[in-house]
Amino acid sequence: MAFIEIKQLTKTYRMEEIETTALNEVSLRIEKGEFLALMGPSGCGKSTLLNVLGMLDKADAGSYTFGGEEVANLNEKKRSILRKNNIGFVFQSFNLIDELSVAENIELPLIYTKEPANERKAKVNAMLERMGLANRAKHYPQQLSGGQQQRVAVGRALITDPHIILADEPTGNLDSAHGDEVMKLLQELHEAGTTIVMVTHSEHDAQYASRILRLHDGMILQPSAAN
Amino acid sequence: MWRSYLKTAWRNLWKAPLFTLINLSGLITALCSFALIALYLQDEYSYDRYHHDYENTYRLWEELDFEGAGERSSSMQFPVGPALLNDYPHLIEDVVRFFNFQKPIYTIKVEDQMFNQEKVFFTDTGVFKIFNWPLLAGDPETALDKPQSIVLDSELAQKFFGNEDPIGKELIIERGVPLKVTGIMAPVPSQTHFQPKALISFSTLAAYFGPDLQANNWVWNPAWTYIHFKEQGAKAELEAQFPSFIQKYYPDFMRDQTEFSLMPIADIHLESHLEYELEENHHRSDLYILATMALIILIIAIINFTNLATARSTGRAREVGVRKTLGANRSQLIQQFLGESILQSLMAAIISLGLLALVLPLFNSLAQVNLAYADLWKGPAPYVLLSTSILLGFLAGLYPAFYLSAFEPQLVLKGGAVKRGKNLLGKVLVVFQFVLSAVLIIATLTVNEQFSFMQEKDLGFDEEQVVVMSTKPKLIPQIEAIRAELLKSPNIEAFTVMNDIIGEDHNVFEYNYGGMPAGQWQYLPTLVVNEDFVKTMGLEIIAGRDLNRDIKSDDTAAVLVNETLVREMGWGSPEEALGQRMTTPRGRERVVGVLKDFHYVSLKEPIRPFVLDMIAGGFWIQEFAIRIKAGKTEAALADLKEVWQAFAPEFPFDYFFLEDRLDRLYENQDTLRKLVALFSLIALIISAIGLFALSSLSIAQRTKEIGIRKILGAEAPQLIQLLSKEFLSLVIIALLIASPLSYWLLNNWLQSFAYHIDFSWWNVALAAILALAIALLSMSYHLTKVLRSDPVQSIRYE
Repeated sequence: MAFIEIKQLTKTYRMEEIETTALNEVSLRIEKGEFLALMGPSGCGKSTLLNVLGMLDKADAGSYTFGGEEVANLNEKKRSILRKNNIGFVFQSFNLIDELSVAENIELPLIYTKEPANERKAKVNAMLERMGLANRAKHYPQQLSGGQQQRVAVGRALITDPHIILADEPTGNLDSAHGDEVMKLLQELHEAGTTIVMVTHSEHDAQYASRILRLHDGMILQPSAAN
Repeated sequence: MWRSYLKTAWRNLWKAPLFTLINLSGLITALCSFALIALYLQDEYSYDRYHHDYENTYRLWEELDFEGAGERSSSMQFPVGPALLNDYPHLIEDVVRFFNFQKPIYTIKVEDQMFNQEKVFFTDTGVFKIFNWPLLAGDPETALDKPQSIVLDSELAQKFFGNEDPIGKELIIERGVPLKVTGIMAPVPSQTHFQPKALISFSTLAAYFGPDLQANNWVWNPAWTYIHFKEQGAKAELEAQFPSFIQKYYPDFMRDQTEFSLMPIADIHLESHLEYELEENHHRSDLYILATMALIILIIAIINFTNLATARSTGRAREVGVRKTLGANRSQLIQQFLGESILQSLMAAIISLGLLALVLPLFNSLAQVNLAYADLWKGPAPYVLLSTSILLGFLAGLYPAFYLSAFEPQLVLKGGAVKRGKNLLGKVLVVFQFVLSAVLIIATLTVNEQFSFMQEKDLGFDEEQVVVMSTKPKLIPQIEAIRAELLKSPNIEAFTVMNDIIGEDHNVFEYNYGGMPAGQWQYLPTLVVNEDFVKTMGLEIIAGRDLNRDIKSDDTAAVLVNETLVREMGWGSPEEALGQRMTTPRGRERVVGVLKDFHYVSLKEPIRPFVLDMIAGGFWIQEFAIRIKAGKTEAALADLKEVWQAFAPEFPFDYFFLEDRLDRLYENQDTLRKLVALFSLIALIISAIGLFALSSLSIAQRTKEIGIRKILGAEAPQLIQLLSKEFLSLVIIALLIASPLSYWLLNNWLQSFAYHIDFSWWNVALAAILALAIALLSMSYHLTKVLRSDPVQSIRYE
């Protein structure tokens, strides 16, 4: 059984008079340990697909099984429990909380999984070390470069040992040097066995993935083997 | 330029309809409350200011100080007024007295019909020169010149004579004295400290008293006496003459104890709280309470306005950036934003003037007043309202104007958003607002509790199931026969008489006791009663015996006194007080019994020494009091009527219940209580809607953060805690400030009552729960909205 399986997933947005089909009967399987890149032009539905996969958004129709469990119709409360125990997110715009320090940002998911305080501290320190941010622990997001901020975000995504990382254009706001830094980090995670789904515009970044999926107008164009 | 400002302002109002609605409704409610209170105060302050020369018109009153047991009387002896006019004609223009036999109701016979009429007064000829009560018919100079003349107000004339011309008609008042109608006056305006319906010429009294009593009695003081001075300085000059005047005319035993004072006629309604007042007057302090509440409501509205405008400023940052880039300078922007807020408050003022017309009838019935919408435009209220609204708009707009105009264009245009600052001022304002609200809640609860306490406190006698009837002089000699007849009814338990209504009023009588030299008198509060009084009223005797019909000497030789008298005389225990001498001009009386203290007047007054005495002949008796069986009210009243008609068929049967009558003592308080509650509620609602809007903005500004936290696994309780922590901590700080503050304010207020409750910390706890509940409630709407939404909606970043 696949780790993630979606069937006939459809999602439409209505804005005033215009209806946009973001996902049009999309079906997809993702195996454990895969590194999948989602590509396509703006508005093709890739971010919507990622949000649905991350249970941040609901599809209008279709089925979605996550680790064997049907989750398409769960309410926000149940989804939030699944989310915090299984999924880590990395965003293009980092989405760090400005009022919290680097260490506090990384710690945040552990608070919500009710980790004991001393374990939290140890895990955060280890993560800061791993991300090369140990000397930045007390800094605030605004005081860091873009690449450093994204590393904080990745650290935050990894802190709960999630089964899957969902990354939405993780290098979109970074210059190429910092971008490569983040991609290498994701590659290392993949090699260590983490499942990753990444949305990207960049063919260069997509080459890090084990499989590339192209979307157009809400539909998957063709399955393509990875290198 | 102004056109562009107006256009922007108008569109901005419509761009955020919820915000506008909240802001305007808060302002409108505040201004409407303010206008209501202003109108009410305007009415209260306008009392007796319509008389011809009110600033030079005063009421004379006297204080008889007999070691604290005397009286402060609003009425004077008959000859005082004329003697003053006679002795000081260069100072006094005119003197007018009013007299009503200290009796509220007269029976008037018109042809074959009988009327029990209130508010009938005997008065001097010059009444219309001092009081601006225009005559619709008749000559004000001469209408009350001759004996047996009466002036009716037009409503009474209509009631008595229908549409016939009343001038020259005859009517008959008690004891068969015929009167001729010589004038019709317009109904006396309600802004008068008393409102007579009929005025009878003073000279008519000769028919009752003969010519001498009025001229020579310098002890009995039943005449309210008004003095109109020739000029402003005359008042001080006359005051300087009072001591020698008293020495010249007053009897020996009163000379050194009497002091005269003058009360400006326009102050009587709010200042005068003497004995024998024509009507229960209001208290200026009550008006201060209401004025303070009006101010508090305005302040709360200003705070709402300031907070909301500041909080919403992020939405206008781009506009500020664009305007600045295009050349606007800071002062232009300040003008623009101030203009906008003044525009809003003026809009609110205009709407609230309209709303006022709708709520005025409700307010009238609540406050027991008769304010007319048209009167609003007569006084300063509308101008006060409009200028207040401009000031309010200005004050409320000041901070946001400076805050908004300070945005740096390059920053706001690049980022599109302004960083959420600490907004310390906003927090201070919210705390301040909740301090005010909490104090108001605690005040409402405490005021309510105190007034209920006063209305429900055991008076020391049983005021329930007692019917009171005004006596008629011809019935006085038949009291024993009436009693015998009444007691035949199974529905009537007891019958007694009294000279004043117990619990409401009393007179003072002279006593000589202890080591006082003969001929010297001490005045003590006294009710003149008969042998059945203690039993009828359910008073308790703690030592000695009741007055006894079988002991013939009791009506000249026995008195009952209260515990306080025994204590203040230093007689020792109640038992030791028995047999003490209490000589009166009527005989050598002695204390035969001591009564447990009871509240012979309203609870506003402390209990002082008090005497129950019998006076033979019943000259003083004014009231019959009948205790009826519980549950037999109707049957008892029917029996009562039958007996009344057997003894006094020529007088209409009229009665009231003692309990209802005593409730009237607290009418003003009741009104104040209702008004305080009403305006506290309004203040609270305005604070709550302010908090509602503020929390919506605060949550809106934190939407992204909430989204991130949700994505990372935050659940509802954690988010609620996160979002409500800030507001709740402000509310808690406010409560910590409000508790001691309200304790200080209300404890002082309570101390002004002779009998009062203790300040209750339970009320503080209740207020705290209420304030927290309101704060949570006003946030809950936005909280649930955020909690239910999909996180992706909070972090839309594409």
